[in-house]
Amino acid sequence: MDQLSDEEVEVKGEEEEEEEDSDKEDQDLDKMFGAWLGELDKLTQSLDESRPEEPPQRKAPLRQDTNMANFSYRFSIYNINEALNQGENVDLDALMADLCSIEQELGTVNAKPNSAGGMARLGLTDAKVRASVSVTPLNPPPSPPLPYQASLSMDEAARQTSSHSLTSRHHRRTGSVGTVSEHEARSIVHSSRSSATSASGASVNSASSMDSLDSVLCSDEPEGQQEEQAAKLKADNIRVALEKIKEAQVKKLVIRVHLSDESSKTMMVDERQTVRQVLDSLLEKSHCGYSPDWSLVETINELQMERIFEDHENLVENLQNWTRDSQNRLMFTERIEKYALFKNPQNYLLGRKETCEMAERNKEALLEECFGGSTVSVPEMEGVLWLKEDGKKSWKKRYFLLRASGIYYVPKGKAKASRDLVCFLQLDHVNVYHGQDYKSKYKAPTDYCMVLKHPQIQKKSQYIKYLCCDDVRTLQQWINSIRIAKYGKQLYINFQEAMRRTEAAYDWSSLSSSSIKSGSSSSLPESQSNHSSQSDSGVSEMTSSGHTRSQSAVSSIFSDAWRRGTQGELLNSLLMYPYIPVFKGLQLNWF
Amino acid sequence: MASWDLAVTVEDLGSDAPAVTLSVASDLHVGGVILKLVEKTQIKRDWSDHAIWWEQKQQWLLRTAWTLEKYGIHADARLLFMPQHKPLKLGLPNGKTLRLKACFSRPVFQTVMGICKILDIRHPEELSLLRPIEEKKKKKDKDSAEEIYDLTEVPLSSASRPLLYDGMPAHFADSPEMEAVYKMLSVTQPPPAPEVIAKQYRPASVVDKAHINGRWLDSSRCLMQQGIQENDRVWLRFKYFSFYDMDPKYDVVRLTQLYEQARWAILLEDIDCTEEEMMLFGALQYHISKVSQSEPQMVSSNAAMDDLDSALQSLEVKLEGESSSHSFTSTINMISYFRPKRLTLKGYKQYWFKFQDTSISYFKSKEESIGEPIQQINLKGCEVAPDVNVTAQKFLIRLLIPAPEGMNEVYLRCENEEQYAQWMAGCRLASKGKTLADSSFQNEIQSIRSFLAMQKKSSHGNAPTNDESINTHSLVSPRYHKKYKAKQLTPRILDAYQNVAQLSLTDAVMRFLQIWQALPDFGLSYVVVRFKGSRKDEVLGIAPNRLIRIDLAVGDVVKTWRYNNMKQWNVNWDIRQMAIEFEGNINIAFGCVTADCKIVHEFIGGYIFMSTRSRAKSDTLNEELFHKLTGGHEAL
Repeated sequence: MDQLSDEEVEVKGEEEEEEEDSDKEDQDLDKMFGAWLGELDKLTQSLDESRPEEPPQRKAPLRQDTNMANFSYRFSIYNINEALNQGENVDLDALMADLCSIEQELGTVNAKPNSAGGMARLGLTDAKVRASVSVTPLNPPPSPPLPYQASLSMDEAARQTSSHSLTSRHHRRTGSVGTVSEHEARSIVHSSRSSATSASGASVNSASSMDSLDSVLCSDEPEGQQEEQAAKLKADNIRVALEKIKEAQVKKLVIRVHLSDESSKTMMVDERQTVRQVLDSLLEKSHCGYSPDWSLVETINELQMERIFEDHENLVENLQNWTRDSQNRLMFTERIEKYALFKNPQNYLLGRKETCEMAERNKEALLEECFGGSTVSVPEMEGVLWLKEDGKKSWKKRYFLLRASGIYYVPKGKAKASRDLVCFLQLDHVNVYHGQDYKSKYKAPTDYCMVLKHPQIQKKSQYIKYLCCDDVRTLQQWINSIRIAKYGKQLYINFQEAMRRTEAAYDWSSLSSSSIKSGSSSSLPESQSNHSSQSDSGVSEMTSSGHTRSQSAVSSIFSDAWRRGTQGELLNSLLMYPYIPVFKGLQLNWF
Repeated sequence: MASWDLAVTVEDLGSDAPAVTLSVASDLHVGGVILKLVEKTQIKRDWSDHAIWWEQKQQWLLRTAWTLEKYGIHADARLLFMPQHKPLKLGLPNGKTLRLKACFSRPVFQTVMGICKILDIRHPEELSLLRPIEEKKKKKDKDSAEEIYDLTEVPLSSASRPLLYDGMPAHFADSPEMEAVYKMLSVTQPPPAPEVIAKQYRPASVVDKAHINGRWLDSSRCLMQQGIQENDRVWLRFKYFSFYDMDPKYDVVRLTQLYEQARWAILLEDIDCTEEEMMLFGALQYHISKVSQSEPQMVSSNAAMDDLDSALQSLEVKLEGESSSHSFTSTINMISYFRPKRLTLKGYKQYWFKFQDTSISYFKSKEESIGEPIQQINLKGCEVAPDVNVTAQKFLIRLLIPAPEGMNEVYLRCENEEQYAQWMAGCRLASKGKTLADSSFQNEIQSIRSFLAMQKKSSHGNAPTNDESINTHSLVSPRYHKKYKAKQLTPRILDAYQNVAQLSLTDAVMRFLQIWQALPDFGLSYVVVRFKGSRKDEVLGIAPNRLIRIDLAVGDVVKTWRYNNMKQWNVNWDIRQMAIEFEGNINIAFGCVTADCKIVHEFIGGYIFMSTRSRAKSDTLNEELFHKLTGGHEAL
């Protein structure tokens, strides 16, 4: 195995067809649950040689319900085994922790917690996990014995699951009593609120039967007396069941995230999570300093391009665009360019050709002006770019313009009047990527390239458009302007949210609240409303006096820095990002 | 003190009646003069709106406590006693004319406030009045039968916000006629006939555009002082393109009129846009006019729906979509390419197609449809484009389906309109991830049908513009009348239409305004100026956040100054020159050619004022500050 293998597939969303199937599977959650357990059994077997004799009931009959989900688990477990044999340090503990936390989460949803129900639900959710951990072998110390830690945890997992399987099997059996489900169906009809159709009845049934089971079975009295009360109970159960349906239909994905130091982390994300949420949990786990620059970066090796996921984007949705044999990677790293747009807006929003400095006060005013209104206007971006010709390694110059409605170019021999512009592409369906090393790959004039493509396209295609800029500044201006055109205000909201987290994470416990507030005012432009020309106001005096009032030593250092910051731009950026990573930014002139 | 005779003409006695002569002393205050005057006329009526106008000085004597001496009035003064509120013919942004009583004695700023109160338009500071462009004599005679809506009977109330009745100000609920006026104000007008657009004055250059801005009335002086007479015609327009706190719930008239102003700006190429944008504007206009005919008013969306209810409802839709098989089938000719080749009809093959949920699958024949399909295509996230020609009976659906390798192109050739409408509607919904169970499916089919009908009509020459069919030439500027025939235009607008067909009326109007505001030239008001030290005319563009300098020879922006960097600005009223100082010792000075420098001064000060508005004090208008920023020496 050579180095390359290290970069192999880490994340796999299931193919679309399998998702189609899954809808049908939902109807039979019990079966799926069984299937999942079966797979775990298999895992246990393969891991634990010391327990050759398995309780017979844990085995085969369940595995007969073959379906796509089943297949995927087999696949994933195979990979885990392989990995373990190869001695790869899989983060199984972390995964287990994820699973447990999901269990707990689900436990709280339950109105009347009983352990078996909780466990059953764990199984239920797990069965929905449409993901496969494929761990690629590292360059091999030829199969050493299993790492103790890993095998132990797997043992535990196996032991746990075996007990689950027993309890839940019990439920499964009782749950299949015909009268129960009939009753369920009736109660649904009873509840006036519920507009759920019989179809919902079916799925509610399977999900909530375990909970409602006890009450139904306990009551031996004539049904007539109990009916009203039961109906009410059922109505509550339906609510719970609705919650559970929602929960159960949440797709989960096990992902591998690469860190900049070549290490990686495995974690579980669910389909509802935004990039911001995933970043937060990564930051929490990795204990690295909190800065808004932390990013999840998608790198598409085959096309030599990458993109920073926007904080509001849905991670799972994006990862599902990757193909099964994809060499794509997900990087967790600090990227100064992610929010450079908001740190030095004057370099992006004013259409200037040179970088320049600007007082913080003016930056805020500028940002508020651009993003504070109801509509965000796209920065005036225009100029000559190189366009790669379809299927060739030649690049030709064109004069491009960015408008809110898309990217246009000026046809030959025409002036750049709006009506004569030719639409190059509209931005609804494409994302903007940063092309890497295209000088050698595509004979690009420079290495400052951007790529526009539909996120689902993963291989070379004529539908991918390559543009090349003369310098890095132009490239960054274009990429950021396209982001503004595409996402508008959302981008600013993302930044503000990231800044809020930064401030929240940083524990200024010794500081009075007032000084924290003034420190944060630099990132919260709504705190400053009046930016009219005459108001050369005393904003700075006001805030700095807040600092001098605060007593602690830390704050006086802080406020000193702040005061100096008002004179020197350099310290101002220190104020905004009181963490080391900021200095990276200062090394780069442009950002 | 010696008394002397003062002649005052009372307007209410008729123009022929002689002036009433009063015997007054110089220490008599104006209130006393009015009291004597009323006694002498012996007419019993409400005189409270009346005031004295001093003709020579072009001044109202509104301070009743001031004495004649203080005003400097002598026996030779020609005084006129008349109401302060008089009828005015108001040209609205939607092209309609309204007659209403406006204040002739207060600064125009207040007059506009009063007008907006009657019309139920919030934030009157964004609007102003301007002198209309003179129409040619000949045309005027022909169009003299123009309909005029009358609002002169509306009582002048002092309440800051009119009482609401049934969602509209109470005075509109008085009679059916008044309700009709409100409908005219609050409902968008149908698309104008192409001839009407072609007849309108269209600015051909940036200098042409600059001339209109010379017509704005001075906000700090009253109508009488600016030579506006009773029953004169003025235009009401949005002047400052900085629209604060737009809320469809409270801004029905404001939104409608703003939409009308934007629509005309697009149709008359007052603001430039690309062909793609023009088609989208066209599609939105079509959609808005269609929906506003079916919906009586811009009803703000009913937010009263209970959370749980809506949750259950959406669940119902979802479950229905999953369980009961919403699907349809038909025989369709299909052609599929991975790479687009030249499209020839002979490549088509016939299959049995089935549409279910968000995907289509096809089989060799109906009989084989029980088994595995040849292929199943999930349409979620794909691009759907129509290729339709009704006269040629061509009903093509072009699907661009993203795949890891690129885009798959699939063409479905439908047999007839019905099949096309159904399949197209299915494809559109599926591309947005919605299933056929979605409630909008039938609407979608309906809107496709109506669009096909429109194409049918427009292909039979110039059909008369009625409610059902709209000539697509009504939706675009005259430039495209020449460039495309109506039937060529229809598929292009249809193409853009599919992205907006789902919008509610309010959302469609908002989208129109958003796209308009996102145009690069949005919000620019031009004035021809001459910079100090320069010998040629240049154009100054005044935008909500910046000033730009346009070189007429190059036609390009040569310099941008932002208000954020502005330190101060001054007007030298003697030589009528503006001087502006920006941070970093940048000083500019210019004289104004096409507009009075008061107008330019007011534009800049007005935008500064607009930027000071904040949410906290949104309901009270700081009139004093406005005049301070825009008034110049007169206000101080």
